[in-house]
Amino acid sequence: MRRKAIASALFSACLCSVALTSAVFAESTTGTVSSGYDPMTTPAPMVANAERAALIGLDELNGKRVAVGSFGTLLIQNNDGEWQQAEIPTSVLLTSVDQVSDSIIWAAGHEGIMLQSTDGGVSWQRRMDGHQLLAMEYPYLEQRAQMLENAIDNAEDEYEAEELSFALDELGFLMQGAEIQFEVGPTKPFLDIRFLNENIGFALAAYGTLLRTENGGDDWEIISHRIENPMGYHLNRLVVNDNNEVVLVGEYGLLARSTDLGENWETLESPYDGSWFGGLVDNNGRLWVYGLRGNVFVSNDFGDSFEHVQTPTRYNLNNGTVLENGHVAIVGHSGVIVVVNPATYESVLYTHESSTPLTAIRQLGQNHFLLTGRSGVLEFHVPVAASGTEG
Amino acid sequence: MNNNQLNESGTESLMERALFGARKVWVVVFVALTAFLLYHAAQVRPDASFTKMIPTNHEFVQNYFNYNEDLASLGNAIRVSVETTEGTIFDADYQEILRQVTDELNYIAGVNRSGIRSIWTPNVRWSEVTEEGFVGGPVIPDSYDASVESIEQLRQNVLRSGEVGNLVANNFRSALIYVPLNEIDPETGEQLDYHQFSQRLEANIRDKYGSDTINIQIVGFAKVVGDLIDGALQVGLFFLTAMVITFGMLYLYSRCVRSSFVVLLCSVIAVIWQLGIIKLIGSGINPYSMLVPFLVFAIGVSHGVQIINAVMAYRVDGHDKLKASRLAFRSLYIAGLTALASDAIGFTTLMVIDIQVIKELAIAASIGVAVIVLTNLGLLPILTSYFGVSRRGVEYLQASQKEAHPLLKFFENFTKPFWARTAVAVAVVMAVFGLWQGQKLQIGDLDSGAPELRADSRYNLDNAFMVQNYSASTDIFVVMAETPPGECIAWENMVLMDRFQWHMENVPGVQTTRSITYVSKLGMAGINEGNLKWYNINRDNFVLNASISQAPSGLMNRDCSMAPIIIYLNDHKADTLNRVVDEVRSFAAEFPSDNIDFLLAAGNSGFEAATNKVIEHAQLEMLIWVYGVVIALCLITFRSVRTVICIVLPLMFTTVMSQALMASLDIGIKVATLPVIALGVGIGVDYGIYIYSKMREALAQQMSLAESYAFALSKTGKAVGFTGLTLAIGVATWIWSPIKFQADMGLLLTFMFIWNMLGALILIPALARLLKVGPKQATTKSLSL
Repeated sequence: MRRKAIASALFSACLCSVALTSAVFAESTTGTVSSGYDPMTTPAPMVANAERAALIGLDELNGKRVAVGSFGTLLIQNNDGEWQQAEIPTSVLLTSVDQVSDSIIWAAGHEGIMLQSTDGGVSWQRRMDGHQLLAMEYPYLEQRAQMLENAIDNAEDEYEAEELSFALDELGFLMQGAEIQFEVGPTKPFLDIRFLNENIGFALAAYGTLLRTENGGDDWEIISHRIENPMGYHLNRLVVNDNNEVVLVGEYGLLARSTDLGENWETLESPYDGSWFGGLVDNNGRLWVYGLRGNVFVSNDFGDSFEHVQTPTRYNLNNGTVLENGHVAIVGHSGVIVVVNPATYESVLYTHESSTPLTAIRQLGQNHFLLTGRSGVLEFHVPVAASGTEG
Repeated sequence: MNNNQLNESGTESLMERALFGARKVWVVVFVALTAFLLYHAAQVRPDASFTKMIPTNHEFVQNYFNYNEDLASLGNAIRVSVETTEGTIFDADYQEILRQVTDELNYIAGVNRSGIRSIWTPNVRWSEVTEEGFVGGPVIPDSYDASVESIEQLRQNVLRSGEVGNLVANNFRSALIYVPLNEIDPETGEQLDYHQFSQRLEANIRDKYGSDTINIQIVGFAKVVGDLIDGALQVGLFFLTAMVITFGMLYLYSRCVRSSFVVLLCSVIAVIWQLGIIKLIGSGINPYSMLVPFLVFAIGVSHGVQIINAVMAYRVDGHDKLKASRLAFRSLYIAGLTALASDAIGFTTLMVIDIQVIKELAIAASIGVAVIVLTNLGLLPILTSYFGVSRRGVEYLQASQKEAHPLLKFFENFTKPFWARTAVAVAVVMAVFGLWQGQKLQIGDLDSGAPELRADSRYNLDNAFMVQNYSASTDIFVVMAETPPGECIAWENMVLMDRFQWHMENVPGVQTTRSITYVSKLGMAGINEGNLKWYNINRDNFVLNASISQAPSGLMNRDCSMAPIIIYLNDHKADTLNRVVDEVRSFAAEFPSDNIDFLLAAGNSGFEAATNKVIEHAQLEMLIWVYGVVIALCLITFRSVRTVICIVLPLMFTTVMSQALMASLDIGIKVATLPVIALGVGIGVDYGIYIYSKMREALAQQMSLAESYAFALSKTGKAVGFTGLTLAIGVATWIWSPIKFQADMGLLLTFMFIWNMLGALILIPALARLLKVGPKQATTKSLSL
């Protein structure tokens, strides 16, 4: 709601007048000699305490872990458990990483940045930046607007015309957002990048932007319109099952599913109106989704119906993993770690002493976890006489 | 005493005639001046002004002064912690006490009431994101009624307030109240009286609310200053101790109550004058310059002893008390003036250190020495001309003159070749060890907490408690990010500040950093329902502004031309501070910008870094000056390079050994200890001058080196020994000062005074032997030392 409030304040401030918008931004930036520092194009600083960077995304494949986060930090855990920082050609906040194979790794982040390594993470190339994304997206929005205008002209009844013009208004907001980016530089962040195989992949972005590639990232196509998301809610995470069926989770209860590699999408009925931040598929193929205020739901039919899992926390839940014993561990804000028994849905709550927001969890050993979060890489040992505390 | 005719043959000087010609007038003048200056001296109060303790002309401090009003909210505040020893803070009785303490703090003068924060103030709120957006409220529930339910509600609110580690201890056994202060009272315009403020905290908070189950901890600059002044007042008592001990020693030396009392009186008058003049010229006394009255007293006593010694000697020779006093004055005033001039010049070299407290110390000490010339070279012989010395004292001197003291006999050995070589060899070995050990000497303060106070002081225990239970270091280094007006939160500046902070967070010794960028990144995540995927500085200035709409005050100045970046450090060791300064500069060099300057530096560690730079720079300069002056003075007096070597090498040996001592006791070179080195050399050279001038007298009469040294010892050996011990005792009482740096000063000065004395008694004859100093033609007799 907050974001929406600001977004609308933003749009009403420059209502219908791109010229005014330009003037406002020109005022705030003219006369300032640039420092020359642009995080989008400046390589990530190689630092002593890279493990203390805010780490947002973590991915594991065949025992190799890759974590990404603030200031273009990308860490790869080698065999002896040490984290090595890779040289990255950008300093923006990276939000997501996906290991497609042992050699191909994708990462994405703010200001439309996509990165790829084809040598297992040794060297990294920038595959997209915000300028390119904007250059794709503005014509796309214009084209969508044109189509809507045509549809309004051809509307069969007033009701349909009203619906379409409402959609056109919303699209107008998105176009103005894009215009602002032409002025101030590209801001739109990718919130998740996920590949189904070496060729087909998706990049999820803020304000409902969805990209898809069929040729391993050589060309990307904007397919935002395939998802019913007229308000342009953020797309937070793509969950993939063993059959390469995907569920996309997003803001305000947005859930969308594709069973044909992203060609067609259907909106699912969400059991909760608040935002989803993540999801996973457990050992029994069940879909778990979680998000705002400790909400966890489980689906046996990959999204057609959900069951509520009672959790002992009201903090946001961000990310999770399936433990060796099949239990599901989900981490969230204020250092909370919720471990749920999938058979009984009984859950135990642990809290990391740092109380820092957590973004990912992996099992290191029995009762021993690797965590990432705003304070970087952390570890957690389940207390011997483990008992849950109120969150 | 058949050499006395040397002195007696001197003629009546103008000064002597002026002094003894109008004795009564002078007594009246001295009494009147003393009464007048005593009145002013009584009004001297120790102060500990913050700006006097830092190098105000240093670039860092200048930068701070430009923005000190904007940085006020960062700086002058105290933190009062209320700890329960039973259970946790989630207890109705505890909360009642916390509420009362919060209220009580409102009524203490100097507190900026609107800024007080505790879980009992309405400005401390909790908030969280729900499906409906942000919800929140004051941490203390509106409906709080001390019931179990409302305590539970309070607990919930505290947990989601984000104040754990800030206002609430990590272990929930204490909570604190953040109390910003007004340095200048907004109503009366008066400067905050730190001493009174600190006493009120003790009486109205600590004593009133502390109990078996409640402990109160108080930290903050104002408390440090208050404790410093308290400690300084205690040091006043040490003065009485030093007086009593000195009187005892004077008596042992002279066996004459009358003259002991006269010497003590004149020395106390010197102190009164010094303090009175300081008050009159508008200068104050600070915890550093408090050393000066002790030094003035001790130097006064040591010169007074010379006079008394001479008066007695002339009484032994049969002169009446007036004649004996006149002769004593005649024989000593030039030597006294020379020695005092060397002291004064030694003190003056301290002026090269551009820190106000040291300059005040230098001025106070110079005034003190000038005053001694009047009181102990002028008033003292006048008084002895009236009171005379007791028969018993004269008889004691007569008896002791027959045979040299066995200890003095022992020192005569050092003119023998074997003893001389051995002594010098031992000194060389020790000096080499000293130089090696001295390499470990560090610049700056090395102890944690408030280094001015002792590690086990109440304040430092409180400080350790805070560091242990709350999540913030007390070593704070502030960089001021300066931009054109209105642009401090422009994206391109914020994004560079953000990278700067990450750069600094990777510097060893840096714990973490805070600034408006941190608030903005948290705000970005907050706007997006707490989603950390948004935890960055957004390029869109409208969004950026929205992200900091709830920013606490103090993170930028009013016209948005400066945003402070607070760097929390592990410690304030010189290495850490140097590294931080270097890294700030190397970042600025790596990312040059026309738009943003990363200005150094504020915060206690910033000032410490500036002080260290000044001290480091001044250290060598001061040593060159003080030794240059001493060497020049000796050359003028003795006109012999060999003599200068004999006198100066023992002093250098003492300097080396005192630096080794500092290194091994973990005492750094700092505002308090740097002056000590100059004082040690300036005063230490007196021994050499006394001894060598007597030796030269004998050498000029074709006596052998051994005979000459024996002569010098018989004339001045006792006085030198007495002087060394008097000076040492005067400052040794400081070792028990509750103020750490005063204890360091006392320890080092005591060491230097005794070591200089031994160095003079042992190394001067030994070096003279090795340099083949021998009898020579009496060509320099004109100098009647």
